[in-house]
Amino acid sequence: MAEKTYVVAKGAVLSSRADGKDYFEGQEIDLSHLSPEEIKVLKDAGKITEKSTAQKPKE
Amino acid sequence: MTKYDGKDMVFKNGAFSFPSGALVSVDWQEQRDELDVTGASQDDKEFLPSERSGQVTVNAWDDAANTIFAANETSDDSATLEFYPQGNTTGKPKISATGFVTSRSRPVTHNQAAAITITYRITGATTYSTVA
Repeated sequence: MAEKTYVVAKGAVLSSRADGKDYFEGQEIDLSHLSPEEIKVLKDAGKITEKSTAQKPKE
Repeated sequence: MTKYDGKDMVFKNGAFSFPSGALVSVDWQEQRDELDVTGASQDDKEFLPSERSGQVTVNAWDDAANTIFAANETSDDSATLEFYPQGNTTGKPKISATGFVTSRSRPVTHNQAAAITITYRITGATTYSTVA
């Protein structure tokens, strides 16, 4: 299953409720605790960008 | 531009979150010192900006179990203060800093609900972020 990774957008600071840490511009952030709707909120607000689509290696 | 009210606000002092039904107001104040550098022959005052500082004033209803007052002692160490003006939900703003209690008061009046006021001094920088 494909998993998307996200990077904090320019000028933004995100505070993750998953680990309580702040993430700054350019840092990767784990948003697996958020629903697709919540991720869309952050995307639409220009707070995150999608980095890449990583796929799990075949066994 | 969307306006909002304080109905969903959240304030935390370290691990303690003010009960939503008790929290009345949060005033996160920021100041900047100024240096007067006016000299001879100057008709208009001249200033230089200097250090920033801040303090937070929280008003809440007191609770009979003393929960809020006990969680905000003037003897407590510094803790992380977190303020969510529009609630702790994705996409909403968050303000945080390290702070400690500098004063608290609990006047009790006959035939009036008991309210408390707690003031925190911010030490160090304030971080503005978005809840994720």
